[in-house]
Amino acid sequence: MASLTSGPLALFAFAAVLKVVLFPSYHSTDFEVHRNWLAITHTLPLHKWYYEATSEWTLDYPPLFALFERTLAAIAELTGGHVDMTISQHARLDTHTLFFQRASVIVTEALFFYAATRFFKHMNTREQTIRVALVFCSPGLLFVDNIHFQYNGFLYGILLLSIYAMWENQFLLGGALFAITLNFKHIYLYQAPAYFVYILGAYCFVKVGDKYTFSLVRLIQMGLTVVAVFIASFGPFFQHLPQIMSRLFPFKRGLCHAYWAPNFWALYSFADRVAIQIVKSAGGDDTLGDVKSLTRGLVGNSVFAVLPDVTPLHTLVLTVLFQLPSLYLLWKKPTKAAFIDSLVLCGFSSFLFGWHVHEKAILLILIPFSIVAARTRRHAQIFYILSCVGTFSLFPLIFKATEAPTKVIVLLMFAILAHHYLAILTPTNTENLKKSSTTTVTLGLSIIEKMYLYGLIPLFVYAEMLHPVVFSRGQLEFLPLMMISVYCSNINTPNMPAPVENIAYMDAVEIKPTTQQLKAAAAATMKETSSVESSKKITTTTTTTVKPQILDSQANYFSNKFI
Amino acid sequence: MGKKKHTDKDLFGASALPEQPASTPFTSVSVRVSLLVALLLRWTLSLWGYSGLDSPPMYGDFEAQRHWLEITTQLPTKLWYRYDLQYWGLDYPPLTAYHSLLLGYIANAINPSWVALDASRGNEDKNLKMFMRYTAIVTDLIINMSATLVFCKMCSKSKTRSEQNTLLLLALIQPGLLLIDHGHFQYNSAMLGFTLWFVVCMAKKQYALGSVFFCLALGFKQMALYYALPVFFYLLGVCVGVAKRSGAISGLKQLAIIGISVLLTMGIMFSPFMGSFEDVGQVIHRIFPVGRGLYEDKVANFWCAISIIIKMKVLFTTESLVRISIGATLLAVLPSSIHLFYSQLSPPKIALANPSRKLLLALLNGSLAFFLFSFQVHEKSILIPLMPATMLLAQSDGLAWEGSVFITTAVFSMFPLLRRDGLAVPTVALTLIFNILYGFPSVFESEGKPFLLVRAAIGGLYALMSTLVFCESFVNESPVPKLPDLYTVVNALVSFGVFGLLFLRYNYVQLFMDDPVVVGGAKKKTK
Repeated sequence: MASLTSGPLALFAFAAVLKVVLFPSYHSTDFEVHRNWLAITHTLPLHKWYYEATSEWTLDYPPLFALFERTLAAIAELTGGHVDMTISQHARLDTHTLFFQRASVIVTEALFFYAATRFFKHMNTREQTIRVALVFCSPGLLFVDNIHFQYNGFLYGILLLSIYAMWENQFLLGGALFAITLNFKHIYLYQAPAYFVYILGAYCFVKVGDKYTFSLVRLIQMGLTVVAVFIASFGPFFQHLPQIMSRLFPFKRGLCHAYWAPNFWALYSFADRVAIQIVKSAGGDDTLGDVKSLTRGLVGNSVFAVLPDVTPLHTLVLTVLFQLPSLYLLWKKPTKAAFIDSLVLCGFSSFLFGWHVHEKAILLILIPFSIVAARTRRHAQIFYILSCVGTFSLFPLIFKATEAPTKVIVLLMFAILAHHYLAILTPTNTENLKKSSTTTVTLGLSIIEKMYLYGLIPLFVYAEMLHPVVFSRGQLEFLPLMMISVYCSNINTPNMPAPVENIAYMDAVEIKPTTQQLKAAAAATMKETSSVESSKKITTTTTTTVKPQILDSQANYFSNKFI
Repeated sequence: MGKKKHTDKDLFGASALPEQPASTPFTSVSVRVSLLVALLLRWTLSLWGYSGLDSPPMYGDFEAQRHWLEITTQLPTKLWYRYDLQYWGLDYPPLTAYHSLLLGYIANAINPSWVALDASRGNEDKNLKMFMRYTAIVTDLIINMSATLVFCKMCSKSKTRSEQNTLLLLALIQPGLLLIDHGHFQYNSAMLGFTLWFVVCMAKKQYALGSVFFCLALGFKQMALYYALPVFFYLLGVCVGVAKRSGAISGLKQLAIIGISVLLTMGIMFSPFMGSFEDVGQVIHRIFPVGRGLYEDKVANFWCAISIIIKMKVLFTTESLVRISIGATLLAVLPSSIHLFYSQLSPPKIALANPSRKLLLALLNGSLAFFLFSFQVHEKSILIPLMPATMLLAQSDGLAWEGSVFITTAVFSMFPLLRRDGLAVPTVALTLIFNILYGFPSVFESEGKPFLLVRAAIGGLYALMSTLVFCESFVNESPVPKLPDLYTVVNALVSFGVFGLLFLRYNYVQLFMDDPVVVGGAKKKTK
């Protein structure tokens, strides 16, 4: 008898068919963007691709993605020419094109699935299926790829294959695969520091006797491999490099995306809004709030009214600053575990402090994290909270009423299943003892963490149901978005140091100064934000920093007692 | 290997789950997730097209249902079964009308233009569509999904956990019902759900309450009459059984209780029309339109199949055709129903893990006989035998491959209809989901059953059905110009063949292969 748990392949088939049923769901203008790219690469010669500007949906991904679109266009041509590939200023939609593009997402996701199975292939079928499901059935990816419309699935597939190659000590292959990922979509640059440090530490330094010596040959080998990938990708566009660069890095866009990503800047902007009200009520300048500020939800240069303005340089410095601790750890001890932790944390810092971050970038954290989500109970807890909140923060992306049930049901399914299986995968010693008597498993979240997660329910009810009724004429239309972002950023910001704690557990001697540094940094950021926010944050921060030690000491106590 | 293990612990954590999950009772996790998957599929299906979208002036079943909201809300009861009958006049029994009235009130409160008399005809407002979809899902949830859940819990004692989980999910996402109710658009789930509540009550020996539920099913859709003969024989068997064991008085008392609850329920449902003899007559006349002909369209039943050889419509008058079909139907129903009657005379003393097996088999055989041989059959009516077949799957593994083939073929038989509604893609998708979860493994991977030859035949059948579906979807013109609806005819013939064989198989199983599973899992042959 086969069931849902009968194997990863059944899981893939089930997920794929479910996604087919989702075809007529709402799709964003990203669908139009990709259709336009299909048209551009199909109708124009290569050298005109990055100059075409009939519509606002110009080609702004690196060359490999353009080639990918060209391939898709060729396949579309083969299927009988029903796919609409005309360059057009306005949105064009017909069922064939929609189905073709939606289907292409599902088919290319097979690579992501394959990559996910690689990691767990030596486990038994049941555990393999559960772990692959945690990676592959990411609700966030479903929202972004299969509803909103993008091709992140297969890109994460290449990224995961690259991580896997690194773990298997096939560094050149891993490096090449990462370079390929970069040449598909440059957002993965955020994770380049971790790659750089790991390659340097684990590959370029060779152990000779007791000493590590630097191997220039290896560095050159790696350099050549990466450069070769870049030449293969950008080579055909050699004469148009400046044009491509201006498309790839448009620094004219504002600090926050049209929707606030739930990151540090959401809190910052929120503090600014609060400050405006305080200044106004104190009899200050009445025109203060009229600047084109972030809460208006416009794409463009943002201007803060009270707090100091933020430039790309500030965000870069902050991002790098917060990447440093994990990179330092990785450098000191370049283990496989430290590598993936560092990847997650690099993604995390960029998400929190980066310039013009989109809420979709949360996947950059969640997907690599999902591989090691069940390493320890604390990992599982953080992953669980982060995924639930991160997925919830994607809700505004899919804003049509017709998709509201889909969003809610998918997130609930994930919340129930992930809670159950993460708890099973990370048994604590106390639970092992009780296993015979009790059948229910829990993840052991703290009261505050639970309250925070349950808080999403009233937030959803207000943002999606009550707000349109209360403000029926469209006033304050961005208030729900702001609320969601502020609420979600609240968990993201203080939770960041937590995975480092787990490295700390395994590598207790080296971590001490770093933990303190991070705590100091966290305290510093708290001072900057408004007092309302910080009170919540302090509580959460304390739980994240104190709890692991308690858990671990408990675990040690029990293992000592019973061995 | 030792080294590998060490890295695993560092990277993934060392859980080392056992291959099989621990055996525990029906967990809340699996129930919740099954319900969520069922709701998700219903909702995503709702995003697709529906019957009669963009096809004025008559539109389709969606408009019919909406129209009934309109007439029940806006007109006095007297006019419900009389108003402009040419435009989707109400032709379902009163409970459907009350259901429409309730929904109509809500619709009126949200947006009066959805149910404005006459002015709302053909309204294709996106929000109206969403509202109607919600009503179908809520109706399904309250009446049918709840019954399914109770039924599956009731007979989950003898199974392992992974089986229970699959079977509950399977019963909740049976593709035929989903596609018709939440794609094409109807409220069949209400009628089927009431019938399932009847089955649950019978298993718990709540005969009066059960009869009320069956009356509600009848009051919602007259198609529940397909079940009527087995139900009648079952209840009669119960009464006679009581009489045999505890004396005639007790038997008569039991009969009176059942009779009174039936009469009361029916009386309350029809009370608004009791004013005049003529009113009741009008309702009855609307519900049973004999004048329409032997069969509609191309249906996978006996009359349509033999019409290729013998033109019955030419040879006989409508009246004699009615008589012939009634005779044939009765002949086909009676064996299983009478068997059911006798089985109730001496019920087993021990508690059974699958107490509803005989009843479900008889309901299935009775309704399938009606589908195959009765007058005026619609292809959607296959949903009626499909319900007990699905529940038999959910109850025991004994009829696994039969049920899988039945469900798959039933969806296939409705494919031409669903394709017209723009539902070709989800039809194939949902059929695949069902078969990935349950169908393919139960036919091709289970040990011993069915025989190799049967497996090969089923494989061939699936290949043939896939080819037909593919041709119908992508090869637009019929290869034979003289026969424009060749695909539909072939579809009906293939489906009839499968249904006919399954009818024989299910009858054989009911009459000769009765093996009740005793609580605790041990099988015991009674015959």
